[in-house]
Order: sequence, then structure tokens, then C-alpha cells
Amino acid sequence: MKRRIALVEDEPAIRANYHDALTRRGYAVDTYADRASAWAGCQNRSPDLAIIDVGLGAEVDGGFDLCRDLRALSPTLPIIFLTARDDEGDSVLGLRLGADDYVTKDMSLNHLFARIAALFRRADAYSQRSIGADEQLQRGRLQLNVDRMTAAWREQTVELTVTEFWMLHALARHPGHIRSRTQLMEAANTVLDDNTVTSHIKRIRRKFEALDPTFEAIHTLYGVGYRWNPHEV
Amino acid sequence: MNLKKQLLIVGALTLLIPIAGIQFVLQLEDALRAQELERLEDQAVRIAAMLAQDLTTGPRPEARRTVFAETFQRRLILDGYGDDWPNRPGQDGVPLLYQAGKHVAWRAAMNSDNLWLFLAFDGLSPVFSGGNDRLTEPREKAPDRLVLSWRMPGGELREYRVEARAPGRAQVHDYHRPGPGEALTDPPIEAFWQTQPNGFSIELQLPRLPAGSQFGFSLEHPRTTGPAESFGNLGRVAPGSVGTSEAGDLPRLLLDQPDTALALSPFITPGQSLALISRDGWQLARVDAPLPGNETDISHFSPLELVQQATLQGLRLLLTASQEPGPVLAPEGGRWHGAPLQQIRQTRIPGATITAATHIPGEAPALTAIVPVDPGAPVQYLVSRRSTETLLSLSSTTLGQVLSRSLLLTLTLLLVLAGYASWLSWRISRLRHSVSSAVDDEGRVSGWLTPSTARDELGDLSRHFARLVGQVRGYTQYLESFARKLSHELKTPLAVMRSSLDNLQHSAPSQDQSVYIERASEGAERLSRILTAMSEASRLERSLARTDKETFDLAAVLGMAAEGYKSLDSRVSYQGPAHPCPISGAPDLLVQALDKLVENARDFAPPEGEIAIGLQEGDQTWILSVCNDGPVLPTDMAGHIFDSFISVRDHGSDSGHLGQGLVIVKLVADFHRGRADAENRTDGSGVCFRLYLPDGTGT
Repeated sequence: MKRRIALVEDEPAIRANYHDALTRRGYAVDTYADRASAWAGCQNRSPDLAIIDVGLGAEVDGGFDLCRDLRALSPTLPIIFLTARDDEGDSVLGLRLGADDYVTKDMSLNHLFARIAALFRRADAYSQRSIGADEQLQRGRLQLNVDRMTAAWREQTVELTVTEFWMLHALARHPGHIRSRTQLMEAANTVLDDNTVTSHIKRIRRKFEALDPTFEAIHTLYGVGYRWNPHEV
Repeated sequence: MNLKKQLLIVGALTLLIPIAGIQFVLQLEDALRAQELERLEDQAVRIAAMLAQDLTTGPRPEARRTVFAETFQRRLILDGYGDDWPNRPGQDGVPLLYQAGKHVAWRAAMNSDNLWLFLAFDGLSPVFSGGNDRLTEPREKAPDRLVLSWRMPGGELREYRVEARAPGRAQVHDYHRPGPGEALTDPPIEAFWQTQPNGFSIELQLPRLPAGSQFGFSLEHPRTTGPAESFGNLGRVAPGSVGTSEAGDLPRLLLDQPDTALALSPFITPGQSLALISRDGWQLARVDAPLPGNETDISHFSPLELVQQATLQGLRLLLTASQEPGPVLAPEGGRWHGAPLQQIRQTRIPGATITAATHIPGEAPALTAIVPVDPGAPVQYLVSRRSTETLLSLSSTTLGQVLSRSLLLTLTLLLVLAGYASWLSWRISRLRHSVSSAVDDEGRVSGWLTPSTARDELGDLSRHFARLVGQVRGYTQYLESFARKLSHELKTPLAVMRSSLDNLQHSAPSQDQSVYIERASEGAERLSRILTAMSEASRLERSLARTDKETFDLAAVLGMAAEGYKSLDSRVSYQGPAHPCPISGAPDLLVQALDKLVENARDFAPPEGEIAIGLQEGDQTWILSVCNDGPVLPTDMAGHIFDSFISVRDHGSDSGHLGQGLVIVKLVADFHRGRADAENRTDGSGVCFRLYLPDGTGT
């Protein structure tokens, strides 16, 4: 059965283009132009994934409100925020409200598809609809569940965003190998500037340090990139 | 010269008013004094004429020598000691005496019964007729002999000699009977002889002599060889005359003239003093009229009157200080002395008078007129003195009040002007201060200016400035956020473009169409990169607030980063200290800034050129430098190269920097509380960019 994606976007051209692209990809797509119709529609036909534009017409933070409502309706629904805005603060807010990912509108469609696929895979892993065991990765005290996109350090769960998970995964997969920022971006299916990559890595570090102040598994090699501590295996 | 100094100078000019006022007062005082001196002179001349006509003080033949016997009321004890005579000022027990030549000092007094005479012989050893030393035999030589001579008017000459066998009562002999003959049994003279530390003294009691008598004394003191030596220039032998046993011209005896004093008293005014003195300076009569006391009961004064009084006192002090006290003309004992007296004695002009300010030490100066009583025969002078204690110009209360009030007024005005000037100056500097605080170090308008509500020109200026600052600020903010706004605005159409191209890609295009789609996609890609780079600076700015600082080794980080660059580009080299260089900051940001600098350097340096990264130690700073060979910066760019949107690249570079790279460098420098600058190498071979970063030690 086709997966149903709800697309909430007020810009008609983008809405139409995304609709066509997603349909071509094999998803069933319901499009909405504003929050009200989106909310009504989602209650009628509940989607398997929602892509929400943050700024919906007149309501500047309409997207955040919708996200909150949808999350209340279905706690496991994967939600991706789409935005033209550049503000890191917004992304933090969005993720705190329960979104699973936060991407900019100029992201390439392929990158978007990769994220959608990952989120579906994760949803399947949680609902045990997937076939076979979850793909896991163990590096020292780190435990990654690639399908569920979860991470654990010394058995304690670490909450990571999709981007953060992919970056961590890219590093941990080959301990000791240096990953440049460009490589990390590619692994995370996104295009960012160097500074944003740096802040993502910082955020990852901070989340681990909150659980374990002696966390030193990610090394910075200035001017080159990052690598997973080769002793953390 | 700043405004305050200018205003002070202008204000100081107003000081000319009180200065002019004081000058006026000084000149007025001079004029009034001159006038008063004239008046005194006139009055003195008239009084002198009146005195001259009075028979009792009529013209006297000129006496070359005079002896003055003051009238004494006090009791004198005939003991040979002078402690009961009038003292020297400040020296108790030491009598004030007049000199009569070498070694001889004397004083004479007249009381109701007798003429008294006190003599002190300083520097002479007394020779007693009884011998000085009891062990030796009585002397054969003559002892000390005091010779007294007098002749009453119309009477005979009497001469006596006084000798003493020993200290104590002396013996009186008739002078013309030499030899140790019998002393007179009932001498008219009683004398006491006493030794003193430096000589000896004799006190004598003589019969009263009337004024005009001739009177004299001298000491015949034996010498070791030869005849006795005569001491004292008031004796029987006039000094300079050949020694003879005949009495020469004896000095004339002068006495107090109370009648004259009586005659003078009607003429005197308060503050004035009249004295009749002989040619030698003996004070024959004197009347004084003291100044009325200045009853100033301060408690009754109002504040204004108090201030007035204070100003008057100040003026008085000023006037006193500015006036010459003049030569001394003062009595010592019974004798007046001073330069004006000498002057009038020496003058050959008959009837000449002297007017001047003179002073008695310890008293206020007095305007003085000295006038001869008889111009034809100046043997007596009238000295008229008027104290300047109440200064003439101020003694009139009205004038004094006017003066002090105008002075007060001027001072108040000056203070008010000074205050107003200060206030204006303060307003102006406050405006200046608020303008400069609205503009930060790099000339960016970042603050607000609260306009003044005053309605004068300064208020206008302030309001204009406030408007200007507001406009520039708005403009600056618009410019600064322009990049971000633009990129934000462009993201949506870009998204439309890209998603459309993407769909196009999947709709089975032909070969030709694929090519065009490819190109369009690349164009969109470039556009996207440009937008990302444009907003990089503002994203960095926003993230700075959330960035923590840590202490790290700058040298290690730079070394690591340089290695990375070297692997990409062989032109890069690094030189820095071998020891750790601790600094507090964000290593990622510094590397980001370094990335930008190295990127620029790589673009501008020629293929064989060099890019040198360096770290040096400065004064509590680390100096990070990136120098490259290649073209130099245009000189007019020097200060602006770190501003937004400034780029010295040729057009056509595809990195889409739009001049943001160096903005990031500056932001990072500011975050570390340092600064960035760019400089052409002195030999023009290239450019050096430097970051000055405080090392966190020190304040």
C-alpha cells in the first residue's frame, strides 16, 4: 500500500512541484495550502508522514501550531519542517515541538527523499513492520540503531535529529578515518555551510557530554575535519 | 583651545571691570591724599604763624646745642640706677638714653621740685677718688670728674665737679677749686655714682632751672699718661674748640611747653596730631585727638550689609597694601627723628615746608606736614600728622557703600557669566558625548540619541543630530540585514526553480533538453551557494551569542589547520612559537576566520607565490598573520576592507563571496576582543592580514 504524505505549503509552485516529485517517487500525496485545511484533512485522512512549511501565509508560526496539534493527534507521526528561514533558533524550537527533521526549501529533492525514506524506515522499525533485524552499529560505548535512527551511550539513549544521526553514523562507521565537513554534509543528505556543520557536531558532543562529561569520542582536526576516536571501539 | 577655555578667557575679560574700579579707587585715594596734605599744610602754616606771634613761644636765638628735660610725673629714686627712668621699648630696666658723644648717654627730666639728670658711661672704667682697689694706696692721680655747668637767664655761671670715693653718694666740689678740697657741705647737687657691667652710671638731682637757661655736663676721665680726656659733647667745652678752662658756649636747656599745647588744642581734629619740636627734634608740646572708635556691632547687620562690610574691608586691605608707608618719622623718648626732619633742617629755602606720608613703626601711616614756626629763623617746627587709618576714599560711607556695592555686583555678574558659560559648555559636551556614544569605534551607528527638549539653538542641534543618527542607524541596519533579507527572499523562488528542474529531469527529457536542464541546475546551484555565503556572516553573528569560550593552545590549532591547508595547497607555510600559546576563545571560529583569510590568499597569490601563516607574541596579545605574495590592496580601501560587501576581487569569480569573507574575520576578531587589520607589505610585494588577539591575561 502506498504511503500517504501530507504536504502543507502555501507557495503554489513549490507545492505543485513537490507533489509531482513525491508522486513520481511512489507516494500518495495530499496537499494543503493553509493550516486550517491541513488540520481538517489530516483528521479525515491521517497521513503516514507530514511535510509542513513553517510560514503558512498570514500565520507566521502557523507551521509550529499545526505540528503541535498533529503531534497531539499522533505521537509517532514523522513530521518534517520545511522552511525558507535560516534561523537556528527556529530549528531548535521546531525540534522541541516534536518535529523529526528541519530542512530548508532549497534542499535538493534527492536529499529530501533520502530523509523521507529514513523516517519511514524508522517508523517501520518502531512498529515492527520491517523485515529482518535492525541494522546496528557498536563502537565502544556507542550503540547505533541505523533503522530506528537511535543512539545510545553506555546503554543510555541519546536523542538525535536525523541530520545529527547521519553525521554521527558517518563518523563512527570508520573510526579513525577523517571525515571532512563536505563529507559529513553529504552523509547527512544536506548542503550546509562549514559553520553549521561545526555547530551540529558541537550539538552532538553536548548531548553526549550531558550523559558523560568525559566524552571524547569525536576529535576535531582543525582545517581538515572530524573523526571518531580510534580507541573508542 | 576648547570651548571652556575660550569662555574662561572671555569671562576673565570681565574681570577688567572690577580691576578698573579698583584702579579708580586707588587714584581717588591718591587724589584725596594730595588734597589732604595741602589742607594739612595750609592749616599748619596758619597755626605756626599764630604761634610765632605768641610771645611765650617767641623767636629764640638759635642754639647750636640743646639739652631737653621732659616733665615727669613719675617718682624718681636717687640711687644711681636707671631702672626707674623710662625704659627702652621692650627692655625692662634699661632706660632710654640719648647719646652725647662717645661713651656718654644721658637723660634729663624736670619735676615739680628738681631737675634730674641720669648719665651712663659705657666702655669706661670708673676711677674713684678713694681708689679702685683697697689694697693699693690711694691714688695720686685725679679721679673721674663729672663737670656740671649752668647759668640761669640773667644769672651767673655756676660750675661744679662731682667725684666719688666709691660707688654710692658722690661728693660735690666747686669746679674752680681744683684738688681734693673739701666737698661742699650743702651742695645744690646730690649725686649717686654706681658701677655698671660695662662702665658706670651717675644719677643727679639738681635745682630747677627755668627754660632758656644754659646747662651742660661733661666727664673728665683720667688717662694713664697725659692730661684727662673730656667726654661728652654737651659740656662746658664746645666740641671742636681748643681746650680751655673758660666755659664755652653751653647748651641751652629746653623744657616742655604746656602753654603751647593748650594753644594748639583748639585746632585739632579727630585723627590728627600736632607737635611742636625743636630743631634738634625735642618734642616741646604735643596734642593728639584719637579717632572715634568704630562701633561695628556685627549682630545687627543683615546678610547684605555683612557682605558689604566684608568687601569694604577687602578694599581697605588692598588700598593699604598699595600705598607707600613713607619714611619713618617717630619719637624716641622725647626726641623725634627721621629723614623728613633731616631734610627740613638742611634746606636753604626759607619757609620751606615738607609734606609727605610718614609712619611711626607699628602704626598706620600718617599724612604729615612739617612747617617752620618762624620761617625767618627756623628753630622750631610744627609737625601736623593725620592718620590714614580710615582711608580717605572709604571714610565717606556713601562712597564706600557705592564702591563695595558695585564691586559686589561685578563679582556676582562674573560668577553668573561663568556659571552660564559652564552650563553651556556642559550642554555642548553632553551632546558631543551622546553623539559619539551612538557611533561605535568603527563608525557604525548603533545607538540612539535622545533629542533635547530645549528650545534654543543647542536644542535644535540636538534634535537634528537625533534625526540624523536615527536615519543613519536605520540605513545601516537595513544595509546590514540586506544580505540576510535578500537571501531569505530568494530562497523561495530558488526552491521553485530547483524543484521544477528536478521534476523536469525526471520527465524523460531529450538530449538537448537534458543539456539545458543541466545548465539551469548548475546556475541554480551557484545561486544557492551565493545565498548561503551571503547569509553566512549574519548566521555567524547570531550564533556568536550562543558560543562558549574555552582555553586552548592557539599554536596547536594553527599548526593543525596549516597542515590541512598545506595538503591542499603547497604554497602554504606556517611559522609559530614552539611553546604552547594559551588563549581563551572559540577554536572553531578562529579556524573559520583563518579559512577565509587563506581562501583569499590562495585566490590572490600567484602560482609560485607564497602564503605564510604566522603566530607571534605581542604585548599580552597573540598576533596571527596571513601574508601572501601578490597584488597590493588599493590604498583607499585600507580602512574599509573589513566592511560588508567590500570586495577587491575582479568580477567573474565564481565563489560568490560578495565581500563577506572579511566580515567574518572581523566578527571573529571582535568576539575574541581583538582586532583585524590589513596592510600592504612595505616593498609592495604583497599583503598581510593580521589578527590581534588578547591572550586573556591582564585586564
